[in-house]
Amino acid sequence: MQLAHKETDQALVLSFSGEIIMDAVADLKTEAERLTIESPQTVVRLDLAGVTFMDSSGVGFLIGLRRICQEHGKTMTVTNPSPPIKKLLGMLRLTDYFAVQANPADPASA
Amino acid sequence: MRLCIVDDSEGFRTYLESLLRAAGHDDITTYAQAEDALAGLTRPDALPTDLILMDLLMPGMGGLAGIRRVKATPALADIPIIVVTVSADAENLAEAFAAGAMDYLRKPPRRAELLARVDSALRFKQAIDERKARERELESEKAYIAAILEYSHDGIAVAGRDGRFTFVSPGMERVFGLPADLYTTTDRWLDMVFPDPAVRRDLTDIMASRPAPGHVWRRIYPFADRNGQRRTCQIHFSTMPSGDLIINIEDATLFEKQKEDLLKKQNRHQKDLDAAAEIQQSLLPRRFSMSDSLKFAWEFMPCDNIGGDIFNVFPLGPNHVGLYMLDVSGHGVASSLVALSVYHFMHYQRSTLIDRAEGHIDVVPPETVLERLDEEFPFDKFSKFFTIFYMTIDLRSGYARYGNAGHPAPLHITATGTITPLPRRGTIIGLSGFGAFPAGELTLAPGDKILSVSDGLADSCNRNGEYFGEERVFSAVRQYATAPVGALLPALREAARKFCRDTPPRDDVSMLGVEFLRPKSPPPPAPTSTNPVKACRRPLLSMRMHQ
Repeated sequence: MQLAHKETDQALVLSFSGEIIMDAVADLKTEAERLTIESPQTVVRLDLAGVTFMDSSGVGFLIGLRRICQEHGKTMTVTNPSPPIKKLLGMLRLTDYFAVQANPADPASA
Repeated sequence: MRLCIVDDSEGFRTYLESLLRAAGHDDITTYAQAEDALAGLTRPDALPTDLILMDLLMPGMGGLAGIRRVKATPALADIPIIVVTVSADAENLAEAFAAGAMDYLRKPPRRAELLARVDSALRFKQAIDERKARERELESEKAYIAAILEYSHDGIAVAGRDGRFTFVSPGMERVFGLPADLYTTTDRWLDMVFPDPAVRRDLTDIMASRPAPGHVWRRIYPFADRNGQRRTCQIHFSTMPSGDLIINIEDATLFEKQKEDLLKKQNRHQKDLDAAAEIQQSLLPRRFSMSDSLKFAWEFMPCDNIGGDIFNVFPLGPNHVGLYMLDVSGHGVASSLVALSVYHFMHYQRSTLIDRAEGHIDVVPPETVLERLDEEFPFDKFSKFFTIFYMTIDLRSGYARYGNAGHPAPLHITATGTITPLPRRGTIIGLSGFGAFPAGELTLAPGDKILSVSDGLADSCNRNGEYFGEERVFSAVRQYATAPVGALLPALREAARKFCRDTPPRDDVSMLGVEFLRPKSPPPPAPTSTNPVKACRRPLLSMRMHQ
């Protein structure tokens, strides 16, 4: 798993790519949480466009990040999930929980 | 190049300078006396001079003393001096050469001869400068290499073919704790620091056979320091083209100790994992039939790094059976402990599954059980969530009721082979009431089966990284849809094994299947009403009251 981040006018965007699995979560959890807490933005957007696979540890990582956002008065959304990730979140009935969105720049999804 | 003319005759200085400038020598300084020249050439800001043309007969100290002073001054000693004099006195000239002059010209010099002598002297000076620069470079390199050997913690030694050390670095003393000059031969070194005879034999063999030039042999050996403490060194052996053996020794005691500690820790963790896996598997159902009405089968393929899967089938009062399959997020001991905790919470004698009232045993509806689990196991408690499918079956009628918290949809397989995924599903356990757990219901006919599998099956990979996937799961189930449950599950396991071959599962793979054989016969009439089993209220009615 790789993590890139950028701050836009409205949100902190954390872009993940590769496989979000147990070992990768252990490596990047602290960094993602630090970025989330230290950002002045109140919206945290997780861009999962480059994520090819996610196991239950990965889902647990997203739940934990959402909890941290809540504790710091921020909202978290998940954007651009690839079809297998979208299917996984759907199967777990987490689409509403993570406020999953397609590409926000795409007018069709507005 | 820079030239210097020393002559008390202003006219001759000018003449000489003009000849030299005309020949392209444009960096020239002139002095009227040797004292002035010495003062000028030794000034702190003076640029180096490459040739001096010196008159002998001058006021003051004169040319001869000037030559001696130049040669006695280290900063000037390498400057060649050509004597330019009217005197052809052999004694004077001999003295000048003895003082350090390299050549002489008679006044007035002929132009061609002057320029030839000057060029020759300048080439000589250039050669001297280059040689001195190279000498300084070599000295610097030598000092640098000596400093490396002095301060390197590694010990470096070179042994000739006769076994004598031709070089031993100070690092040898730091590694072995004994003065480096004690090691005169390799045999003596082996005797002094390697108490183990097998190690000495091995090292003696290496000294004799030696690696071919360009090859390196690496070995790790125990040795004893000067206090007799056992330590470890890593030695690299390589051979110089001359045949001398270079022995590079590193004290690897700390590294070996860390490796040893790490291995011990790893063994302890592996034992913990094995014990946890054993406990996890001891909790799986032991029987495969519970009554004449129901048969079940299961398969469990654990992953190496223990997962959080657990499933069970159990009686719920006299007329019902409960079954569940759960998958705790993550892997490792933490996940398996949470699974164990849920297993105990889901014990068939606990109030999680059965409400006991006066003279009644009420089977708690699955959706209520899931709500109780969601309350008991919030994500914050263990930083874990889990998915679970839970179903109760009334053995008298085949009426089945289920709740599904994010688990892959189980399949309802009719006796004729029609396969339908059970559609009702809520969110995972752990979100503290975020979503509802809708109830699903169906009535099983004799020969119908329910098959629940964990996501570990579809997520299994082969060596090319291809997933077994839901399509292959469905395809295998379709092929054996009408087979008894005891044949269906092994067939599914075999299909996955054939696809994945020797690639181990990344997650636990669990499969649980039940087959409804026939409705349970009603019990014979009861002689009294005090028997607790016979006093059970009809669970089906009780369940309907919860809807």
